[in-house]
Amino acid sequence: MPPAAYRSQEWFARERGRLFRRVWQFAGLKTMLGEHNAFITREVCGVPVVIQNFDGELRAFENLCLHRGAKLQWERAGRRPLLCRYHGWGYDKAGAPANIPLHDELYRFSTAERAGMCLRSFALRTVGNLVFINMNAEPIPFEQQFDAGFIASLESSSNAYDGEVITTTWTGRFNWKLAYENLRDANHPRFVHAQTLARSVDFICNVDEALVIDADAEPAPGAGRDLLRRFSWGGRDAPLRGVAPYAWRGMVERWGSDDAYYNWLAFPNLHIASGDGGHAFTIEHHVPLAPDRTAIEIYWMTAKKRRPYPYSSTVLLALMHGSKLVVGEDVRVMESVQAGLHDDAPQGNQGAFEASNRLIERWYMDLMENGGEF
Amino acid sequence: MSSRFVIGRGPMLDIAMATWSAVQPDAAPARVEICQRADYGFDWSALDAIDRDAEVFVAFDETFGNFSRLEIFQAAIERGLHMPALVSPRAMVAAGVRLGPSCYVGDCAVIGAGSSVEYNSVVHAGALIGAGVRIKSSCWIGLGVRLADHAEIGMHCTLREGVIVAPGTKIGRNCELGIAGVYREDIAAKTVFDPRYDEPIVVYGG
Repeated sequence: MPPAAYRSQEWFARERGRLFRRVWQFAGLKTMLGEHNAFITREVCGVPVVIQNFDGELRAFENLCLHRGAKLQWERAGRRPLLCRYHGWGYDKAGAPANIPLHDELYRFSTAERAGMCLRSFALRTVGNLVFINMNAEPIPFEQQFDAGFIASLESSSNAYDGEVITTTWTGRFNWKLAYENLRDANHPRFVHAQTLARSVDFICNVDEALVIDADAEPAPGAGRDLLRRFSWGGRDAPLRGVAPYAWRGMVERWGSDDAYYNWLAFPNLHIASGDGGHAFTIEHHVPLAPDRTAIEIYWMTAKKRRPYPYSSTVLLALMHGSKLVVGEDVRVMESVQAGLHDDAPQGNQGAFEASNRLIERWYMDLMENGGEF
Repeated sequence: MSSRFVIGRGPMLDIAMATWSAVQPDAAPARVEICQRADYGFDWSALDAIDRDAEVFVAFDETFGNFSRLEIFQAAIERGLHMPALVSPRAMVAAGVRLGPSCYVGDCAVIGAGSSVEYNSVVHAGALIGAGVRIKSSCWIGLGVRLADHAEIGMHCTLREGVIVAPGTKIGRNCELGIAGVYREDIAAKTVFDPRYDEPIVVYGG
């Protein structure tokens, strides 16, 4: 791709409108929203969003009060009614201000004015334990973005997640696309993760001949819409060189029975993995902040516990530190690539094994330059 | 055979040996290294060789949220061993301060009146603990950490060098305060401040 795709503010704004405001994006975990009034907040395409449980129904709204624009929920996650701290406006599951304290004395909105007040809402879809939202008023069908087999695999695996979740965010100085390209490049672990991940996983890097042909072929009119589904896949990825018999692994309901590294890549910016054969799972969500800055949201959870054990959060912290090491290796490389970019930098030369990245690149460039096909 | 033992691993074993020798120069304890396997399980053969009713001190670092040290502590309890607190003669501990089994208080640490340190917790050298402070079990209070009056530290917390906890502040269990600075607000359980990360690490649910 041209350097501008990774560096230009104008490109970034166009990408936000043409891609991110139209696709389904990961928004959080259902286990963090299990009770009435449980909520999570986040920023999607620069918009503050709250996802809130109303008596078991999950709703996504813009997290801004209709009175003065204060954020309704402040914390990243918690449990409280959808209620503004500024003047006490409370909202119902339709996003309407159901309670405006001292309305008749101080506000005196007409019935028509009040009827017109409603928080901006967003489409929401759950798959197993995963929550996705779409920022578009007329969202594409979820099944247009992800194929049925992928959705089923996400659903099955994420239903195995335990409710105890560790999470943090760190900021990388790179464009988000470098992350999806890196994740679809099975040749990098042996170099970038030689002392870490590659010592325990035999990543398989081969050439998909059919994909090479498709990546090089002239697309048929209308084919772009179907291509989107091909950018996401998941399941068993590579064999493990054994799974260490840590005591905690005996205390969780393992998902599956293969000693395998599982990988789920959901275009555009979600990566889920289980590096220990279904005992624990990590979610990496690469959230674009600026052309050269990406928030890396990391979650870890084990498979469901058979029974609580006192050091479970310490297990999660150890797993998080593992991510800091391995993902940190990726981040260093991606930051190095980003730092070397300039307006006249040469474009990369991707090989046959990178056909999936080439296929995405063709679709993406059509989207960015011609409006593309959704 | 000695009836006093310091069991553990690493620098904490050296520190505890030196402290016990300073407390009782004429009755130096035996040093017992304990081994950990690749799966992080302990080899208890060294512990099994100690006679019941002996006095032991568990000297192990804060690895794995202080749960590794707790595991040794529990193994010692199961074997009927006695585990008094180990307090440096150079520490200043106010009268009436409650110190649980196998607590450690290092050189020049100060603990104010009405405070308590529960079992298996470590207060390192130079720590300044105010009055009425509660340090629950299996904590690790690093070198020079300052806990102001009536602060409360939940079990399995690790507070590293340069941390100051303001008066009355409550730190939930399983927290790690690893970034130097003043913590003025209560901190939810299982929150980690680690200088390698841009934001706190938080655990939800469970």
